[in-house]
Amino acid sequence: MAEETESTKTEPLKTAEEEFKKLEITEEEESELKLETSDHVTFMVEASIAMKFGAVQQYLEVSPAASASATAIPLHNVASRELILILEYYRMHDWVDAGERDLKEFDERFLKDLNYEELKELLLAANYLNVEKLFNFLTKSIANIIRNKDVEFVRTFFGIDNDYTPEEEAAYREENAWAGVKFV
Amino acid sequence: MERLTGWHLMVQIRALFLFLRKETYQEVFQPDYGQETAHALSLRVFKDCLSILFQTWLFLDVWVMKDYGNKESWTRLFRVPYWGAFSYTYALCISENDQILIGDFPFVVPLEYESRKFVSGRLIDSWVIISLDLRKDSYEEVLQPDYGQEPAESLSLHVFRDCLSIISHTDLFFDVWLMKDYGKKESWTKLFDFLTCTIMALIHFSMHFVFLRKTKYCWSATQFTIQEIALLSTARFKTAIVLYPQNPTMRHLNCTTKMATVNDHVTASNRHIPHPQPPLTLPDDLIREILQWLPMKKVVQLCSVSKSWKSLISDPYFARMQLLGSPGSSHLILTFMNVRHEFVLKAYPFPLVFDAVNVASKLFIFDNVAWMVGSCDGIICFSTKDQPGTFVLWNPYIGKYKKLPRLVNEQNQCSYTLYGFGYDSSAKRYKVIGGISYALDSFSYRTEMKVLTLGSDIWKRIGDFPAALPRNGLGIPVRGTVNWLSRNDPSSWVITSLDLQKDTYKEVLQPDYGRDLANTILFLRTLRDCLSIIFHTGDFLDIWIMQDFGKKESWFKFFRVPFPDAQFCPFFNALCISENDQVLMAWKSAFIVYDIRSATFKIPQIQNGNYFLSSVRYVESL
Repeated sequence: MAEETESTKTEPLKTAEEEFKKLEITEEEESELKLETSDHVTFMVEASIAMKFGAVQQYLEVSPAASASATAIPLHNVASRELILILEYYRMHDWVDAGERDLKEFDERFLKDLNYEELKELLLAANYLNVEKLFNFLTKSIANIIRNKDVEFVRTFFGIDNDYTPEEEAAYREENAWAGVKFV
Repeated sequence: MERLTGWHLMVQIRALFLFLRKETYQEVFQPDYGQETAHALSLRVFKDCLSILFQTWLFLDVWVMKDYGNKESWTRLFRVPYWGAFSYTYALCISENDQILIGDFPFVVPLEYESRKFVSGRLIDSWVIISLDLRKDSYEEVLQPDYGQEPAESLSLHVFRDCLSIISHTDLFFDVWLMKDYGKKESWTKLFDFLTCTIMALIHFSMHFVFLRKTKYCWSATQFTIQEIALLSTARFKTAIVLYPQNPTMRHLNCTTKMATVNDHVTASNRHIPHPQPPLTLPDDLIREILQWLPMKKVVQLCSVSKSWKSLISDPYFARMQLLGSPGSSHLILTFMNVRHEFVLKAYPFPLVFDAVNVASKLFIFDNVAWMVGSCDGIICFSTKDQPGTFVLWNPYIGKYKKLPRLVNEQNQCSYTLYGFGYDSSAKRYKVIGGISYALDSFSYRTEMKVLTLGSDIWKRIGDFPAALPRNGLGIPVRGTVNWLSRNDPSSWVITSLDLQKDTYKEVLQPDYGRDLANTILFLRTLRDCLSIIFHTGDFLDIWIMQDFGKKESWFKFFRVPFPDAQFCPFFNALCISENDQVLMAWKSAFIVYDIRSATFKIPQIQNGNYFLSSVRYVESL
């Protein structure tokens, strides 16, 4: 049983790798894939990077022809500016010469240049594209942002309306406040 | 001024606690709070003075008694109005950090460090800027400019041009105010303002923190012009196109991305300024992914964000990513009392606790817990400071509390003497046991026992405790029983076991120690999930383990710790034994590890300055 599930899991990867190899052979330069964002901007992206996107892999599994042909792979939920950022991130993290410190510096700068809305937009895009590394990086970063903030900040951050009535809120606080636990 | 330190302080605070609650002790007089009534008072120590945090639903006052014991010396340091019901925790945080570390003052803007002034503001309805003068150690309010007719939607504090600055934001305008002469209200000048709608897309003003960064860009620019702000605020898109708000031409900054060059035109057309939008909301699964990086306590706090968040967090899927790791993982819990008289709980991952280096622990501080009754099958039971006989259960794994009905004593002359917490596996119920002793005459007493079965909420009376009162009233739970060890006379000890299923007592027979019991001390523990006896003489310590509970013949002597010199002698309290036969022992605040195989002592990393109370092995479950 375990073997079976394993093989089905690795299969898409294999096909993706094969596709990638094919591309390498058929083209002299590094092959590129055409991606089209939701705002109808087409990007030519190095296959090595594009294949890191789960959404692209999936698309190529269903229609392998797209890799070689001129048809653009549609990314319905990603706008061009998000894709630019995602590509920037992956180019940096793919860069062979990038040391750990460079990457850290880059990550910090990358975050600093994003406002909260952009951060959330990027997270949605990363989720859609199924890019694990960036996704984890973003969720962790957002968690760090809200880590030491109060509830009101979190509400504003996520655009959530407080649907507790004042009575409920008081009751809830009563219920939870008894211990006054400080987690250090 | 009297410096309050150490025990003196603790005792005083305790006295005051009683005073605040019962109004019977008169040690410390409180200030005249004014007309408002507080919903909560709490005590702190700031600047070596006794302080009171006076909380109403509207504001928080910080009172300091500058001269201890002198009622006249109470002064109000500052008042923090609240915005939203939950911000009071933040205010506490201000105060605490103020005392501990001034640099952590929230939103602190280190203004003119030379003059040692710190200024802090808070996101509140009626804005208050509080400045802390480090030279005088006093707080004062910084008066704000007259913002004009539009009420500010948000304010943030900055330092521009070495002056305290406020950026106020209304629906329409975005103003930058500078206080040219610090402390003088009339020196506030409006540096510039502009219509926000022109650059709305670039500045998500709902987040006032965002301004901070944006305006830092402004600051770095020599001239404040709208164009430059727009330019600089979009400069973060290194590959993006900048649109001038007034003159919509495109400019390309530092283009490194191939595709951006190709698609200049298209991108530009897409970057036309959109209408301001409400903050983006994320689907639940993404929120879950974010929350999983946060400590459980924070997550539990966030239940109060909204009802949907509460159900999201209470979801069993989420419950799996819990506080202390995965179910079945085992921890050693040590509890302490720190110098501020707070209850401190530390959880150490089990096998690592013996190590000399890199022992990470989780630390919890409870304001309202007096001590730990016990832990059983994933639940920890505490006794609270409220009143005797009040208990709270805590499941650290899912971070939930349950307050239990109080164990009330009807008798006047009585005391709470016995406690126990166990799990009845046949009924699948947790049970809390409490014993109340009262004197019958001057020579005898009886101990009434009551049991609360979790879910029933009634303390049920069971048979009286049949033996003498144990020195340690905390019962040891073993396989559906709770056990106490009491000393009848100097040379005889008895183990009384309460069967949680039948609520009956039984004596557990002890092993043949092979030695006279005079001048020995015995302790009851659970080690390796078995009932254990620690048999301590001045020269050695024997650990006996009852492998098969209730069978006398299953007692065996697990090992002996010799005490070659007096140095280790007081370490009589064996806390736990590792798989590779190391035993952790404690004495007061010190810990030591004895390796049974190599018969050597070593010092573990977990030394702690706080006063050690008790320990328990904790295995997680839901």
